[in-house]
Amino acid sequence: MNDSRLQSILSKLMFYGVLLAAAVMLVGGAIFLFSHGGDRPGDHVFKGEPHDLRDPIAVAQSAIRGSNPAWIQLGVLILLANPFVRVAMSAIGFTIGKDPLYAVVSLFVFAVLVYSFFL
Amino acid sequence: MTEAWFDILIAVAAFLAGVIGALIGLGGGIIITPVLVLGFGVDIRYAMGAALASVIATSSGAAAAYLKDGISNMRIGLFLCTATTTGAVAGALLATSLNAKVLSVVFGIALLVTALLSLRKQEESTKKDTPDPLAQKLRLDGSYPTASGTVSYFVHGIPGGFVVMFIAGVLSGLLGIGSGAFKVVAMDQIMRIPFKVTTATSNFMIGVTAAASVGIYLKSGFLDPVLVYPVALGVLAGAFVGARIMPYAPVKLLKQIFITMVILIGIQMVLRGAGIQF
Repeated sequence: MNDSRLQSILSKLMFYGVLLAAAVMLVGGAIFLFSHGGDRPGDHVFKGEPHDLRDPIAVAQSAIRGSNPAWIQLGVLILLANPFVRVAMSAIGFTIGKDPLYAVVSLFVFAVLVYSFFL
Repeated sequence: MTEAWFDILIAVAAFLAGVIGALIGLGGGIIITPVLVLGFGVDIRYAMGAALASVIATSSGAAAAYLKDGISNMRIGLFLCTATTTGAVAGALLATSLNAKVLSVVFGIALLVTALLSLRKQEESTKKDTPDPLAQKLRLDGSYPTASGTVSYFVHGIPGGFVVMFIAGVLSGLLGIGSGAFKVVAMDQIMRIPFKVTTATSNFMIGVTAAASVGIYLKSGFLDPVLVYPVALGVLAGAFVGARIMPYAPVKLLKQIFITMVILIGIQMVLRGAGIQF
């Protein structure tokens, strides 16, 4: 696989990834506004989000239970997953392209990204 | 004000920030956070979380276009991302231990520095171009398509660029910004990479760098989905529209107005952090 082919695959992946994230956020946000549109906004004071919105697995579990903020958060997480996919795909691309140096560089960046979720 | 109005107004503000960001290549996180803090009274930590998410949105959206053009240099981008991502993790950890006042002051200073960096003239380097041994070893030199054929370039100043990239990463994690202005300085000024390649590669790196802080922001409760969605959707729509009206917009005038605004907002953020409000 050469560089330009890798870039074209990545470009499509990015596009659909962002589209999917935006769609999930849009639907989740619209439903949220129907049920909570009349509430008072609560972001003036920092309390930190509830724990079920603080890690990817808990977000997915809450979303399955039908929690509305969790659905929006799921859209946010899909959005945030984009760079992860981008770097992972680069690592695969460089491996296939027999470029061990940059396969390792990509893997290092991927490792830092994953590690940051366990801090 | 009800939640519905609050969200709609935030989406409109984010849309405008997205348009400006696309037009003058500055914006995203650095403008959204002060707007949310000063204009909507949002706590700076929630604002940083929402801004960081929107930075990833625009970076991924624009990357789709840039990657297709073959202008960005993946090797340079990934190599420098080893510096920015480790910096971002350190910055984000630092952010979770600082209070809103300190963050506000540091943010204000970052705004002022960004404004100064944006005032620089963007000129292609005229220095004699000879290959750099380290860049050759790392195979960072590349080429990109232009209207008059393919142009090749050499990369220089790798240690210096690497250090500035690490600092850009720390700022990204600390303040929830893309720190694109700092990345451009490292690549454009220090590494002497052609401006078009710099812009496209920096855009690719911004999303990856921001992703390194996201896990820490998420765990620390900075990411409020109810605030993130109007911001991210607004910025995305704005960036899309901005890219399309670019040929017709008075970019130079907009840039001057915007930089003046950034300076004023920066001063206000510093004063707010210091406890002086007006």
